[in-house]
Amino acid sequence: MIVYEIKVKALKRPMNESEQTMRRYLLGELSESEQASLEEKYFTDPQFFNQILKTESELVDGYVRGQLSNGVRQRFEQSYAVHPARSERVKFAAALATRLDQIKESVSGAGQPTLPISWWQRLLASLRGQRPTLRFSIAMATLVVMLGSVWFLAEIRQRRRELAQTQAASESQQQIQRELSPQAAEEKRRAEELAAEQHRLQRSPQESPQPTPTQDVSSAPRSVTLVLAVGNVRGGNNGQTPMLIIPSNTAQARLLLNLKENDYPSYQASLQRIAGAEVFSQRGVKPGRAKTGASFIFTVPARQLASGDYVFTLRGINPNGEVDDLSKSLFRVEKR
Amino acid sequence: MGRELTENAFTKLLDRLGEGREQAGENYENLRRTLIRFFEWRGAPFPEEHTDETLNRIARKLDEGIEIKTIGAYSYEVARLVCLEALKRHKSRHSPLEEIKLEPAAPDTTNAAAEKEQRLTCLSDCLRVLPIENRELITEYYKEEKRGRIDRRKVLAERLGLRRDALANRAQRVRDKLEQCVNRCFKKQSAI
Repeated sequence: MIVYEIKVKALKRPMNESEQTMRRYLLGELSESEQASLEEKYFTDPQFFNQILKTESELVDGYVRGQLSNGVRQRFEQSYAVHPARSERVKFAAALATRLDQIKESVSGAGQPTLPISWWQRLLASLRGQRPTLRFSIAMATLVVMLGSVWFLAEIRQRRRELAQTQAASESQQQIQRELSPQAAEEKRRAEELAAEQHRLQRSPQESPQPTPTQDVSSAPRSVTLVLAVGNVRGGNNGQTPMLIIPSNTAQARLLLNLKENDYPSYQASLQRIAGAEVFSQRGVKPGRAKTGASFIFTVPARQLASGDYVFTLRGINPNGEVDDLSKSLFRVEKR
Repeated sequence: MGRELTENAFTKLLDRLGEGREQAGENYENLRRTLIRFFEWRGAPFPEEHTDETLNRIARKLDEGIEIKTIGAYSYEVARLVCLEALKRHKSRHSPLEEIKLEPAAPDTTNAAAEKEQRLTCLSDCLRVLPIENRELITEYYKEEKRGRIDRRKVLAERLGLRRDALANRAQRVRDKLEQCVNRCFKKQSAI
């Protein structure tokens, strides 16, 4: 019998004779009688068959990891790996070695886990050994509890989010109200002053309808205000054209218009220079609060207004979306 | 190949393999596994088909009333005959031109890389569906480390409460199943 010396670089223990014979069988190097003897043995002795399987795995793993000696490697390639099924086994072993090396690299230090394990697999693993029905019942019950918990947590999170949004909105509203309160008071005061001025002018039409430039506090931008009379849409105003004088250092101009009735859910306002460009147009305008009727205040940056004649148009929009003309107020701007 | 196997013949084969269906089934699977490996190691062209043919012939003989003393030894004799027939048939079908085609061609590195990647994907999928203890077993048993393989496997066997040869057999069975899973997956993916 020819004895082959098979050197495996990484093998820590010497191969016994039986293992050497098995390797030679796998490499197709046994005589016909040796082969028949070994085959008959593994057909009748399951443990011997298992040893050959183990030897085969070690041989294939040794090959894919480059641990076989040159001679064995050559014989392996020429004999073992040429068969399609055995070639597939070699490719599988190569893939397994690659994956195991990747897992080893990903595991840090003394870390035990090998592959990512999902929670349900851990659950099933913990239930192994129980009776199938009991195992299934426990698994279903656990699943129901887990789903319920997920739903409950999601619900709590949603409620918290809504509460936080409500609180934020409330605080924001309070903040806006705090910020607007002085402005509203100031607007109210000015509106009252302007109404008194308008009343005074209406009583003495011979006087020039000069608006009263209102000097704000020293730090605030200077602004001027013009109280517009509701104009006759068809025939225009009968009186003298109101004049808005804008001094050079004025930042903004306010236009004030009061309606006796507030019949529309929303309004549309536009300001256009006569035979010129539109200064602004705004839909969905809501009137300010007034005891009766509707009060509108529009603020226009002074730089957008040049000397000339303007028409301010107010339209009401009814619930059906239909638009009604309510007022066309003519006025003249003079910049100084 | 051979004639169809009757239910009666198959039942007689199971009865001969073990007492009780569970034991008989286990022994049947072991015999089948041995036969497939035998045909692979012998270089027969279609190991699974030859295995089925062998089992059919044994079952028919049992159905005919032939007394078999040692089922393992008898199976081997039948398998050897089936193998010789198969190799003879296969050899006669191959022309010299076909043999020339078996010469290794220059490796297609692009295809080889794609194939390897696909096989790795299949392996990951197959590992994922393995029961957790089998997955841990195969990764622990076959991983390559500087530390002595024998010592490591000894520790693993102690941890699992198994004898070392029992551990090796279990690891090999898991490995075989994993290999079958990967091959099935790979063929399926390649066919798409």
